Amino acid sequence: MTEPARHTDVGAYALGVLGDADAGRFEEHLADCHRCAAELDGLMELTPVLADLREATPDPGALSARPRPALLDGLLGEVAAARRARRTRRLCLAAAAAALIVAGPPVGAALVQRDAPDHGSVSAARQMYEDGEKIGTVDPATKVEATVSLQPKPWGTHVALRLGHVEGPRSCDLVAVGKNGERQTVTTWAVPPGGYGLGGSDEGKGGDKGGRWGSGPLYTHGGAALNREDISRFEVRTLDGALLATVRL
Amino acid sequence: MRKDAVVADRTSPDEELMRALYEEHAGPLLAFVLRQVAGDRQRAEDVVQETLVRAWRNADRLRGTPGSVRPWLVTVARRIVIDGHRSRQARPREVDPAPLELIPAADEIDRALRLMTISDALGDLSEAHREALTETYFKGRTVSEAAEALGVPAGTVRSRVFYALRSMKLSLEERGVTG
Repeated sequence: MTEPARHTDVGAYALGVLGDADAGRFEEHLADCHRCAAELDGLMELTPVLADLREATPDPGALSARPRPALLDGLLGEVAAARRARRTRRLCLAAAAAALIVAGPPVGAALVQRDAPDHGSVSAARQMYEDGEKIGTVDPATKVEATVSLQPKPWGTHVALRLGHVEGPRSCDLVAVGKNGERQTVTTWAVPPGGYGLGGSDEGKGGDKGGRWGSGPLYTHGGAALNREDISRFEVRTLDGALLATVRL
Repeated sequence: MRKDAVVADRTSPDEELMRALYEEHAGPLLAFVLRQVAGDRQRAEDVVQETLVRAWRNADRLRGTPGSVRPWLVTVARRIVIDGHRSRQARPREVDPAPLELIPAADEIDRALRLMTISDALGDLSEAHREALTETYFKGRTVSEAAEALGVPAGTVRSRVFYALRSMKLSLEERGVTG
């Protein structure tokens, strides 16, 4: 090296990468140059930092290691895959929601029915009762009020029953008795503990007052394979045989 | 994957975020991971990719705590490397040359972060200045040897080393490494 030392050699000197001859020349320069001495002082702070990095990086190629472009492609591919997964999940959720909507009405209907089971059946039975020919009685012994409402049908006779002033709990049936003595059960039912039609008013519609079952009369219905003209009477009995009321035609 | 879909998707905020993570952290993280896997480049890139994907998935949480991304990345990358070691060791008849001792203890995370910051400062240098430092100091060469390798005058290498160091000094002071 024939070049004279320059101020800018201080960097290479600080790092110890000047050759021996150049380092010697720079040291001569340094002895007379306060500016380089001050500069060297500042740069020496760096050397432990850089030494740390050099020690940790045996392969200098890793210093400026940039991932290959394929890595970025891979990352963007992951993003796209995640978005597809999200979209699929959204679709699945939408499908699940649609399934819920489809399932919804039956659930709602079931709730409505459970909420007012008697209203539905009573109103149907009551409508049938209203539409037919009514014959009623109050049993002198039991005070049970029973009224049948009859509609002739090709298959026999449709029978709706309105029953009041009956105490529960007990299970009952309605039996059609033919003129020939034949007995056919029209329907059976259970009287709840509160009874039917005991509340004084029989205008209740199946439980608006005095408890759900307590105050209104019972409306129910069934059928008998007997023509209207062939029926002699209807008997309301408990299932263990006690007669509650007889409706004679 | 259809190509047009990919191209279209790459302008979305999701892609922007992933690109930002890559630009900011992929290089320093790769240097860190390379140290953990004894220079296995392919494996290191796999770890970096997995780490950045996890960062992207957790971006909302990471955004909430500024300055926490690097420590999170280093911790997660280290976790992935360790799990990789385990699964390799679980395989019979395969001898993994990298023992668990190569993996830093938890208290070395700080050192890893420091090294990444130094790498950042190095990365901020111009290509010529970074090359001057790499070809001399980091490769253990004198200025004259590096000048020959680079095909430039030795005086040019010396001045580049000087200006590179000045930039590094400023940059590291700004990053709080020296001061």
